[in-house]
Amino acid sequence: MILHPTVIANLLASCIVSFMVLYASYYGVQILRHWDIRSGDELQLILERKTYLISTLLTFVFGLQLLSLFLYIFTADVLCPLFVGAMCAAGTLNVNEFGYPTLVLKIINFILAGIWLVLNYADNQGYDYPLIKIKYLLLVFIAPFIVLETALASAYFLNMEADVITSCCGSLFSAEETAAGLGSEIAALPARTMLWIFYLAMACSLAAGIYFYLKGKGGYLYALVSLLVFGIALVSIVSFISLYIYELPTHHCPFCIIMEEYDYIGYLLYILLFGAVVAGIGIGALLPFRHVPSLQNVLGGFIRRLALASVVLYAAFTALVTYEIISSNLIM
Amino acid sequence: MKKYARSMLRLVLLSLFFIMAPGHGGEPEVTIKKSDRCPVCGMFVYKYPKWVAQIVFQDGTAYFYDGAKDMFKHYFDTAKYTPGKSAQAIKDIYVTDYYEVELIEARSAFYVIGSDVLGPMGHELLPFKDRESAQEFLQDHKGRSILRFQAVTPALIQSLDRRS
Repeated sequence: MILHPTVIANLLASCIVSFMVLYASYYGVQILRHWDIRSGDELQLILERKTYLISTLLTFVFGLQLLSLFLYIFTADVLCPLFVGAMCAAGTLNVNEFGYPTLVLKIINFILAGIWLVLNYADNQGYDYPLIKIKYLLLVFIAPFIVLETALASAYFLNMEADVITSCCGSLFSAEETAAGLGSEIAALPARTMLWIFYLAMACSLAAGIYFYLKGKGGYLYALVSLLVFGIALVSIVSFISLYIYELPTHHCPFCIIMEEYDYIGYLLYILLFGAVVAGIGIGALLPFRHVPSLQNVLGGFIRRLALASVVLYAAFTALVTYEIISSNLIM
Repeated sequence: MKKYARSMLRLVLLSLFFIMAPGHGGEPEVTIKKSDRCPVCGMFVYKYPKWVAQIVFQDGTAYFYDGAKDMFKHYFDTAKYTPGKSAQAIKDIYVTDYYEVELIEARSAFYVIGSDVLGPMGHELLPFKDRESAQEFLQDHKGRSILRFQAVTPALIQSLDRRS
């Protein structure tokens, strides 16, 4: 293990989130089993009081979960000088077999936590706890993922050995035929084709989003499209966006862009992207409840604001990418 | 960020420096900018000054590497990393002597492989300006063999990219 402040911060954050989510899940199960708003039973009164405490707690805990994705990437980036062969977060994550699985889970949990926060916000708008069972059901669903993430993150940080030679991102995300792995396969995609796919996908998503915002139709479609576009955008970062930022024809790394030398542009790109996908999927998560009596008046407006946020964030992402391509010295 | 003019100016200054540098054996004392990157792996070279290698093309453009290994990769596959350029257009190649920590002519250097000293990119070829220091290093650091520039092959470079 490497005793670096960021490693301790990561483990601490993971443990706090896991503990709190488990604690909340315990009451979540109670609520799922015994909740009855019409009852004046003692248990019901306790649960009603508890749910305020728990949902407030979880707002902060899931907020921490959202931040922890960026903390994790930041940590991997900060630690890279300690490992031979690592030049950025990509190499550090490759130090042992737990690095990348942890990252994947962190991304999944980011989206799940985001959806929970959206549901929780909507639930708090109604006077009769309209979504209480839904949000605790989701919490119980999320809990195993959070615990698994903590286990993987612990395994990753505790098994960090400084005397291994790791792979630099130049070989992990190399377009060469000899290189293996998902990173290399994505890097080997034809950049020009990916560029067109990216712009086409973004155009479709923006059109669907604006249509939903104005007409109130096609919400589920936009939620689905926003998830697809999120995937396409991630692939695009490896395939061609990185090339324009680095101005190197062979460097596909999605992690070097978060370094100081590139003005931390990667953090901005990822924040825009993750914000957009959470808002987009949040629409799909809320639409089934728009006719719930106590939410009828408020939910429509909230869903439209989510749609606007998602569209604006995707548009900002596209604009930033376009700026990078135009101002780049690389010509493909 | 993408200051084309600034990089042009830098290029001009750099070439001026080469032209005006006093001719002591042609070894340049270059200053590495914070923005100089290895064209092979994208690493910022200023972080590893002891490992710097350099290729200067006939048109005056120069590239830095964070180790002799990446320099050889560029040398063997020039068009891949710098489209439009070929190995024939290379004017000078420099590597950093491991003991003296100064740039030396790569084509006349001696390279030790298989030692227990690792570079920023893992297994490396460690450059020395004469056979004696290479021999001394080989004995001190369990090196396998001493190679001349011409004996280095793409297959050998690939074999250095192993993880253990």
